[in-house]
Amino acid sequence: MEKLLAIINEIREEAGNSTIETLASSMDLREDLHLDSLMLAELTVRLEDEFDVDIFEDGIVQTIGEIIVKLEGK
Amino acid sequence: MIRFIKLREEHLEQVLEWRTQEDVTRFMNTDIEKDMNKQKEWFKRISHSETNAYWIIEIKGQLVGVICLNGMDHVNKRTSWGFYIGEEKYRLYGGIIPPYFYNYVFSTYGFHKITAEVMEGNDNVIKLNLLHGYRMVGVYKEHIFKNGSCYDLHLLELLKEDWIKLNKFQKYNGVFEQ
Repeated sequence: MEKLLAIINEIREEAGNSTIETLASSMDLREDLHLDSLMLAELTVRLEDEFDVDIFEDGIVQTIGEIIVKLEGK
Repeated sequence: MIRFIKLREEHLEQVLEWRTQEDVTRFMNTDIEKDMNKQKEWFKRISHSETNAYWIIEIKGQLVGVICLNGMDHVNKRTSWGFYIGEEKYRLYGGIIPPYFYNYVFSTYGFHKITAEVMEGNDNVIKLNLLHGYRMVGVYKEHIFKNGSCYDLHLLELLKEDWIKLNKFQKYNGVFEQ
């Protein structure tokens, strides 16, 4: 979870958004974390790079909880 | 889950719709008119071209965008390429579609290099390219004249050996219609 938080904060900061302290499973990637589609595209590449996981393998993910399930199930 | 279907006449209306959307054309080097006759003429030209190849990107049965090889240079074994996702909902796939393409292109064609051009302001795409192993080659200053203003054009290249050396994304192997 720490690594995921670090990656998300890095992407948010580069886009001029403030960092966040914690992640919750229920957080929506677009609505709560304000990640647009290109930021999400970068997130997928960073997660693939870090965890060797394709989070879209079975379809679009929308929440932090869905990403965690993917990372834990690898 | 991701398929690449050879562009056919039946796709032209959808492609024209995507290609003239503001959020797609914003960072395109050229803009086109929303004219179906011109679209058909363009299709005729590229259908007979030995230097261009176009595919429709399909994700879980849904047509979402276009990916292409342009300026294939079989003498110097290099090519340029481009892609866009017309369906906003699927744009988050923009990070993993290129790896499918690189694996296909490098293993199928004899190219040793892929080059890319990215317009000024399209920073996320430059970042994605760098994550995929590209190197920055340079910048053409004020190279694109669009909507009354000049824009820089960033030049990048991905060598086959750098893609292989990166040793990531190797599992992204899609089905490309010949």
